[in-house]
This record gives sequence, structure tokens and C-alpha cells, in this order.
Amino acid sequence: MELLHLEFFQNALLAGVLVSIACGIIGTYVVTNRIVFISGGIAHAAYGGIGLGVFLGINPIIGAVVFSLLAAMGMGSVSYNTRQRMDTVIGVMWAVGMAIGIIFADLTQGYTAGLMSYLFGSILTISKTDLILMAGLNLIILVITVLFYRQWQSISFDREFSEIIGIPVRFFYLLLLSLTALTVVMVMRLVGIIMVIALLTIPPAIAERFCVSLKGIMVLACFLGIGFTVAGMLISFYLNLTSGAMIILVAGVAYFISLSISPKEKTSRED
Amino acid sequence: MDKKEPVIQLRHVTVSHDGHPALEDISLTIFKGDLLGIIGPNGGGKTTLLKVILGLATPLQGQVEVFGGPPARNRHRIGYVPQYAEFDPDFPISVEDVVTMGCLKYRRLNKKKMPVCVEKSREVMERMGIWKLRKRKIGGLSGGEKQRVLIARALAMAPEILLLDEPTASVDSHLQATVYDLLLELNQTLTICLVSHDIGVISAYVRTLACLNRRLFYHGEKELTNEILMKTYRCPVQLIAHGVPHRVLKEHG
Repeated sequence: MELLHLEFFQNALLAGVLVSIACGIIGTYVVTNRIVFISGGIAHAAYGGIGLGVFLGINPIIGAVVFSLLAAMGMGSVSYNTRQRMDTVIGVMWAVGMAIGIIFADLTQGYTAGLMSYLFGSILTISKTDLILMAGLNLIILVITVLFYRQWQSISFDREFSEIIGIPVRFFYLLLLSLTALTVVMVMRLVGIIMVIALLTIPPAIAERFCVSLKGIMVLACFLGIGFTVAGMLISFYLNLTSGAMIILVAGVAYFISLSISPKEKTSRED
Repeated sequence: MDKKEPVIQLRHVTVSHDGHPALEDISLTIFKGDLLGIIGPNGGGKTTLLKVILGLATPLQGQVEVFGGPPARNRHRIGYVPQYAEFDPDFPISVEDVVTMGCLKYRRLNKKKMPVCVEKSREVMERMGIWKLRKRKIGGLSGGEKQRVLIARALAMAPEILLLDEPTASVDSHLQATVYDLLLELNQTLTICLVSHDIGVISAYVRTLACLNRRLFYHGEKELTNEILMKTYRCPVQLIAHGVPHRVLKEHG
């Protein structure tokens, strides 16, 4: 366990825990609101911001935050107003974001190999500053979730009824997408853009089978996420394999195992 | 309820979906204490009509008044009971949490009011006979139980009008009568308007009927003629009654 004395590994573990908490909470809303692919779109659109950041010589994370928030607002407005062809809009933003990132990387003089770390994640590069940002974002997510739990539960279950009783549905929907965008940027550091949606959706998807409430799913998903990231990091370290991919593999294996376990109460009883 | 006081008024309302008219020139008044059944074929604009009343759909032409004002301002006084079929059946929410949604009228949503809300929810759950199901996930209930949960949620709003979309659609046929009996009982204190494609059962219970197929073909006492039904459904009634022996509507009048 000399591993635990290495600073980078301590940082990585802490990041894994922080990311898992954000994913457990936001991922639960993502899964129950069926916005998994909007989240994927947001993640890939963020790559454009990373490319721009590198090109301008600023912190790529700032670019990623701006691009992901813009993508979230754009897709949120489209999906709120029309139900049709949403998958097309997501697909376009998904690809265009990536393309912008790649073109900016081409235009940048010098070393741009670091851009790869955003695609596949890199626990080695997580700094103290990253950890502070992650902790801050977690705090924001926790406060908002506790304050507006009933509203989000109501909106996620029945949007029309929520509107009738006077909840500002559109505001809360866009707020949810904004927090999703910020979470996505955070998860990106750990497992990379390509695998973001797995960490966001697998823990709640497993937890959903065993819980009756959003609250329960969130708590269980946080612990599952922590388990997956820690296990994935340890395995990847000892086998010298890519950590982000190993985290997702561990989560994926757990997901398929969970499918074979039947929950205590079957929910599909119909008369 | 001696004096006829209008609670919902539609005047020459036209609504279109992507250029296709869903409702054309609808004029309809619902009075306090009414038990109105709106029948019509699927796709005839029944749900759209409810959405117009609730301010969820905006008419292209015409006016809608709810308690003498715009729907968006007064819709919190209407208890809406949507069709459960439109929900995600796997959504993780308990019966208790669904019912409590009803008393979360947004502006009053604060910690101090929560105990009042919990008490109100308990009261309506007991009244609807679903108190013992309160910890269960709504998706795991039977069709009739789900319907009771959604009615309980609407009642938790302490509404003056109850608006129901196909209240028996997901209920076993032998239990449908219990839903209507419940509505009759609620009608003693509430104005009720329901829409359904099931002319057979509905006409035995409601006091007034309206026939809707894009246009409003009839509104009044439930002395329906085959001619009106022909106009509404554009096909012989026997066909849409799905083999149920054609009820003679006048018998129940």
C-alpha cells in the first residue's frame, strides 16, 4: 500500500470520490429524465472548448466549461420546445464540438498531445486546483439538490402537472442541464470525454433496480461510483492499464451482473 | 348550487398542431357543480381541449376563461388527472410522494407548510383507500390503484374542478364502475369534467354530455341521438363500441 503515499494517487482517489458523488446525484436525474444522450452531446461539444483553450493558451477547462454550458442551453431549449428530431440536434452538436476541437488543435503551434488526455482521461494530471474546483462544484450540487429536491422530483415525474402547480419548469430544467454540463467537465478529467456518460449513467442505472425513491438511488449510486472508481484505479495501477477505461469496465461488468440479480419487488406487475 | 355559475368558458376556440386543426371553433361553458362527460374518437382533440383549459396549449383563435381569468393564472384551482399511460412506468417514486406533489403549490412551498401538506396528503390517501400503499412504487400498482393515486394527487390540490383524461383507460373493465361511483361521490362537492372515447359507460354516469371530434357536435342533456354520434364518430356507433352491446343512452337519461 505504498501507493497511498504517492501524492498523485491520493489526488486521483480524492477526485474519484468527488466525481462519484456528483455523478451519483446528477446521474440519477439524467437517467430518470432520459437525457443520457444530451449529456453525451454536452461532453463532446466541450471538446471544442478544450481545443479553443489550448489555441488561446488559456486553461482548457475554462473553454470546456463555456462550451458545455452553451451546448446545454442550446440543446435544452430545443428539447424543451420540440420533442421531434432531438436526436438529430444532439448528434450534430456532438460531432461539431469534436470537429471544432480538432481544428483548433491543428491550428495550435507546438505540442498538442495533451489533448488526448481529455478524450481518455488522465488521473496523473489531476492537481490540487482541480480538487478544489471539484469540491466546490459538489457543494453547489448538494445545496441545490437539497433545496429543490421536491421540485425536481415533481418535474422529472410529471412536467405538465408541475407547470400547473406553478413550478418554473423551464428554469429548473435548464438548471439541471447546466449542472449536468459542469459535472460532465469534471468527470472528463477522470475518465475522458468518450466515457463520461458511462460513469454518469451506470451507477444510477444499477441503483434504480433496488430503490423506490430518487433519494435512495442517489445515495446508492454515489457509493457504487466510489467503489467503481477506486477499484478501477487500483486494477489499472497494478496491471499498468488506462485508468479511465478500467473504471468504466469495472462499472460495466457490475451493470451486467446487476441485470441478472432480480430486485426484491418486481415493479412490472400489471392487472 | 342552485345558481348556474360558469367556471370554465371557451369562446370560438381554434387550436392547430403544425398547421393541422386539432380543435375548430369550440364554444363550451362548464358550470359550477356540473358532471360533464366529453366523448369523441381517439385523435378527436379531447386531450388538446383539456390542455387548452389548463393553459398548456395556446389557442390560435378564441378565448379561454377559467374562473373569469386566464388559465395560467387560475389553473391551480383545477385538479388535473392525466392518463397514467403517458408516464415512465419505471420512474422511482412512491405513492406518498406522488400525492404530496398535489399540495406543492409553488408559492406556498416552504418548510413551515410541509406538515400541513403531509396532513392533507394523508387525508386524501385515506379517502381514496390507498393509505396502505403509500410506501409502494407507483409503477408496481394495478391500473385502478394508479388511477386512485392520480385522483388523490389532484384532490391534494384542494381543487374546485376535477379534470380527468380517460379515467378508466387503464382500469380493468369490472372495476371501471367503481371509478365512476367515486366520481359521482366527488361531484357532490366538486365540478367534474372528464373526457373519454368510451361512450357506453360514461353516458350512464355523467349528467351532461358533449361530443367532440375536432368540432363540438353536441352539448347538453344526455339525450343523444344516433345522428349526433354518427357526426361525431363518422362511423356507425356499433363499430366503436368494440362489441359491447350497444347501450341505449336514453334509458339512463
